[in-house]
Amino acid sequence: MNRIVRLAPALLLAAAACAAPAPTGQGGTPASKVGGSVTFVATTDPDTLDLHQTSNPVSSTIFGWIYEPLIYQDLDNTYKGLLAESWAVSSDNRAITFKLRKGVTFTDGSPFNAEAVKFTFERLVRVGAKSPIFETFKNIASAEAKDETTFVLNMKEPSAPIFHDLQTAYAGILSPSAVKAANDNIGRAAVGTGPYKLKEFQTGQQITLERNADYKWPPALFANRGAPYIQELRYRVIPEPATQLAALDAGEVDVLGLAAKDLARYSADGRFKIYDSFTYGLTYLGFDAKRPPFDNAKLRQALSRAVNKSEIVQVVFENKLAKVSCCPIAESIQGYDPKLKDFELGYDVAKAKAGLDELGYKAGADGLRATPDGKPFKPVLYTSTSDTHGKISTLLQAQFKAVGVDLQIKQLEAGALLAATPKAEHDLYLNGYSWNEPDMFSLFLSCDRIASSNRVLYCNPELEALIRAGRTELDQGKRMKIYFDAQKLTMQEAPWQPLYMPVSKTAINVKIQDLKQGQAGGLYWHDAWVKQ
Amino acid sequence: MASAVLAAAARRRRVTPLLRRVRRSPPLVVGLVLFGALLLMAAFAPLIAPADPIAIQVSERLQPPSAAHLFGTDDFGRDLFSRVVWGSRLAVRLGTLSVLVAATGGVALGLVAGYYRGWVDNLISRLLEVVLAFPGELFAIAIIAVLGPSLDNLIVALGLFGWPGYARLVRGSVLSAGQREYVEAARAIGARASRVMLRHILPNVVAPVIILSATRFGGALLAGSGLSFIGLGVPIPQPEWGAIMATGRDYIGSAWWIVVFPGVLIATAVLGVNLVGDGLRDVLDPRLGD
Repeated sequence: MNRIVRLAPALLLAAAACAAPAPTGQGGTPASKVGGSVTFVATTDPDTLDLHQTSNPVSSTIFGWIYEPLIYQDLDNTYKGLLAESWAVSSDNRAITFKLRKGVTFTDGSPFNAEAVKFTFERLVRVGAKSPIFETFKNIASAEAKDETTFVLNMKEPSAPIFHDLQTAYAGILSPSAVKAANDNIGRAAVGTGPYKLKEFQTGQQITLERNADYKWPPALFANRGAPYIQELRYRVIPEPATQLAALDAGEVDVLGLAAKDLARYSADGRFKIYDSFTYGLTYLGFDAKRPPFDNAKLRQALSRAVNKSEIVQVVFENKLAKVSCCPIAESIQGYDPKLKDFELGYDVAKAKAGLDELGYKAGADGLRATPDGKPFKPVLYTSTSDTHGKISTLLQAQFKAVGVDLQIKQLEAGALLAATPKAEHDLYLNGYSWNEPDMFSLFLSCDRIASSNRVLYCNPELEALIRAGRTELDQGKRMKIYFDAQKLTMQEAPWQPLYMPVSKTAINVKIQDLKQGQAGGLYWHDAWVKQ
Repeated sequence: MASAVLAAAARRRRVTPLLRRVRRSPPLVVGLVLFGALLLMAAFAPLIAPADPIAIQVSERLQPPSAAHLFGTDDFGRDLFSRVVWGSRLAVRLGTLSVLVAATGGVALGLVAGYYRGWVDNLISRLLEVVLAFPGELFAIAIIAVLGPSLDNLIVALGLFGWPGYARLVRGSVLSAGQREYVEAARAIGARASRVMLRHILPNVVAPVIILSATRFGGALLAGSGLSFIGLGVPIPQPEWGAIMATGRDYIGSAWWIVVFPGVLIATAVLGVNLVGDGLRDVLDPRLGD
């Protein structure tokens, strides 16, 4: 099974933000802020802007400015209405009724309504096999346009993660008249309701987007209640990293994600400001929770207490490219709750030693412990051959040695590692997950994924019930309570110990003002303007 | 008595010019000094190194060279001098054993191919052509990908892609030696094939095999460090020179010493064995020199 990557929310790509939703009554756009342009890098040539016919992340970044979905993920990761004003869930959790926003028009002048939503989702089911949200939409029994502003989505089975898919750029709403006018070939003719519209598409060179001057329905969190300030957005196709850096240096590109090696140089460069953003996921230290000796939760807890996460973040990431994680759901993902920190086992050498002593793992003359039946205790950690995983393993080895455990490291090339872990050859396992949904539990910790993506082979009926409840509860508040309990249980049972959340760095030209960030570090652009 | 004196004189006559030739070859002397220093460092590593090469001390990380840490410390606060000194053991073991594996296999197959000729020769020659057709390091990467990274597997991998060189060299020498009268004579008096090969033919190919081995020792050091650099060699946290350089790569701007010292050691060691190889060729090859 390959590494599973979840989609970034559309709004992070398509919109702009301010940290506090300050409702201002300013009438219209201040003339001084409008204008200018921002140039991004497209790391590959975006194949098509037909949002149903691609899973290319570069394409979705670009059409994310053009199309808008029904809902968006707010700064605190909750779902709010974008093209939908509100929604209600039926008592059997199978039907969602969306109340749509009035007065919205597509950039071709046609009105946005329930028929357009129905048209879009039916097209997705018909031609969208390449779309990353196609699988979710296979669960749709029917889509109904009840009246101009009422749209109903009926599901075959209750599925809460559908909200996540509905807020991605891939679930943006198409203009039916524009699709008909283009004879269904909308790869180069994208028409949506978004803050930008397509101006020019030069294959292999540049895509230019132009401000939608009629846009006046930004999400409530923005201070700017009208059209965006920045006149033009450009995506230059530059696949080669060295060339991207040269373009950034030359001022031809304003925004660029940085590799660790380039961080110091651009941090010191006054022309750029460095923004942190968090990856949707984290790296964890797992135990083989199915086989002895780590089927014993007490042993897992004792060794978890030997792990010094801050030392890992300090030594391996210089306190820059990662942030310590407490809880199974990463801070960047909906469902994270700082109150869970109270249940973290925490770094405590004395408790770790006491726990091992109690279980009968006694230290010998060399300070290293033996198993209760007298054999040398040498658990084996499986991890990838990446530099980062190698360094973390080296530190873990030293940290375990401090409590008398002689950790062995086995580094395998990624494919071999993924093949080895379901077969339970490992005692411990170091790797990460990437999934922007609290339902990551059903992929990485549920019983029926033991042969595939549940690489700690953990199966607990109590957790299993919570996972099922979380999948089928469509009420956001109730659902987050379920995941609070699921995380608390996981932290106590310790099948895995979250270590850190990767932080990525983006250099942005200082001429771009009022660019702010959400909790997960995502960039929000709707209030941003360019200093001339 | 007289015969003993004569024999000793004969031995002296054979030995003395060799030593003189060694002394007259400055590259060989320099090479032997460098190679000898490497062997001494490996032999006495526990005495030379002041610290445990894998003991982590986070408070001491990335310290520049000083009296306390002669070569500075790495990103885990480990004493780099101790790591480099202990690394020489891995280097010597890797070089010696991989050359031994390659030489044993290659010489045996080369002898058999050259002696029996015919379909045996054909089979072995085609096999070695197939192996030679692979780029050596790619072949080693493939082997390690299958077996997993460890020092032993690295030795096997380097040995496996090193044997064809020996086999081809030995086969050539055996083909020419097999025509000599003394080999014919040995066969004529009914010596077994193994005896002819080992007693009469093998001594003729020892010199080129030694020369090739010196060159291959250096090659093995470089290949081993290269594979460790990309994470396919000696597993962490062992102080392999290439692996140390790989970790230092991220700090090359701020902590140059992590890359420089193991790099200098690799270069010096390889230079040493290569000079020995070149020098030995000058000294041992009767077609060259006086």
